[in-house]
Amino acid sequence: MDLKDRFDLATSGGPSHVPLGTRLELGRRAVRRRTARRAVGSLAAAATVVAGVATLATLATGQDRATEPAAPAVAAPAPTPTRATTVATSDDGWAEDEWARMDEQGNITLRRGVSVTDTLDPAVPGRQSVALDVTREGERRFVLLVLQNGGIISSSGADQPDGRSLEQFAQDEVSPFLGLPVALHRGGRGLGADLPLVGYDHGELYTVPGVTIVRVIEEPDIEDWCTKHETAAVEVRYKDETYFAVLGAGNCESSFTSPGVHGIPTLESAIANLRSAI
Amino acid sequence: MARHARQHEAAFSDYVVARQDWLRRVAYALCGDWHRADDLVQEALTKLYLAWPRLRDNHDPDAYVRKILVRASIDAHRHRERRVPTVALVADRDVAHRLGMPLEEHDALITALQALPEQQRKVVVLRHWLGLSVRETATELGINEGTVKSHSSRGLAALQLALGEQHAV
Repeated sequence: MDLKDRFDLATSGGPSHVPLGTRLELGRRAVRRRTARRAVGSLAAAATVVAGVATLATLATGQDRATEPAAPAVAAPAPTPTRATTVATSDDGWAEDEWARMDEQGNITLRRGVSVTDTLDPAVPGRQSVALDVTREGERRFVLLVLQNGGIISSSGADQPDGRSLEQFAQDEVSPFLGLPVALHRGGRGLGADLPLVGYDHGELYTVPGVTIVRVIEEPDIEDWCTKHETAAVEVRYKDETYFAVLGAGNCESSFTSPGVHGIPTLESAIANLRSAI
Repeated sequence: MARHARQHEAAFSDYVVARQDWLRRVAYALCGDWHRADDLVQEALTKLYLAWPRLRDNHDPDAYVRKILVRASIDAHRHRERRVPTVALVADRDVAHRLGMPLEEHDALITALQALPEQQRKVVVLRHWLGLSVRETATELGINEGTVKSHSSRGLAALQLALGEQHAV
């Protein structure tokens, strides 16, 4: 076998491809962003000016307000929606590397001195989210703000965009769980912050750091459940506790149980439990 | 959506469906990870989508996308990766086995390739898998032909060493 044949074989296989519709949507968004980029520059410049005015006004009147309304700095041409944006008038309460915030309604607060040069909105399809290309005191940064489950706003940033597009940054930052059917750790015996431990899609399991996969049963054969999609049952360990998840690649309402909470002793019993519930 | 845009999108869709597997195989050879390969291909296809209306009949989309792939900073991309750990289920690995290649050999080639410096790896893939000439490879990578030759000989020698005599290249 020559090297070419060996390459042909070694590169065969792989998980399922990204759906065509997703590829097209990403392309359309790139077109919209390219079109928007020219327009956003002037809007961002206007926002910077308004931010300066807000700061000076606050200093002059001695007002003790955390934020001051300003022009929408991250607006983009239709069909991207415009967000309400404020600019903070003080650095108090801002973490060292925190340049922008979002509330549950999607309103943005920019740190004092921050201007927005580009925006991706939404950054995560189907989520209240925005990615911002921002500058402050001559430094540039990407920021991603996403409304997670339970009203939690996740924020992440990159100091050196390094040639990446804003869209690529958002893709790199976003947990793949956001687009996956996931099993959630409910935070002990009652309600708590949702923590996705394991997800399943395209024939692969996704786990958060700290999770150990103990074993997997592919296609656990649960009649009339998630019939058109790949399924898997998985036993994981997380923080010295065992969890059982039965996951489908479609929107199949994945099942998640724990011996400690639900009294289900084995992975087989978790499967049987779901089977009897169908 | 305008009629032209719809036509472009239909043609783009046809191209993606027909060629995404091949493109990802090239990306996989370059980076050694299916997820990163997916990311690289998506990045390249998005750029192709933007360029599609400008591509004329005498422009080969394969060459356009391949150039984006091989000119990407594969290793830099790898360093900034923040994806959560993943565990591939056995289904994907059955393909190589079905095709008659032992899994160890399947892994060994990709692993050995990833051990090469990035530019050597790209030259080996372009020259010895995709069959580009020295001149074409030099143009594709934006380097001179002498550099292609030296990368090629060193890359092949390193692969041969890594794979051992029984898998001599």
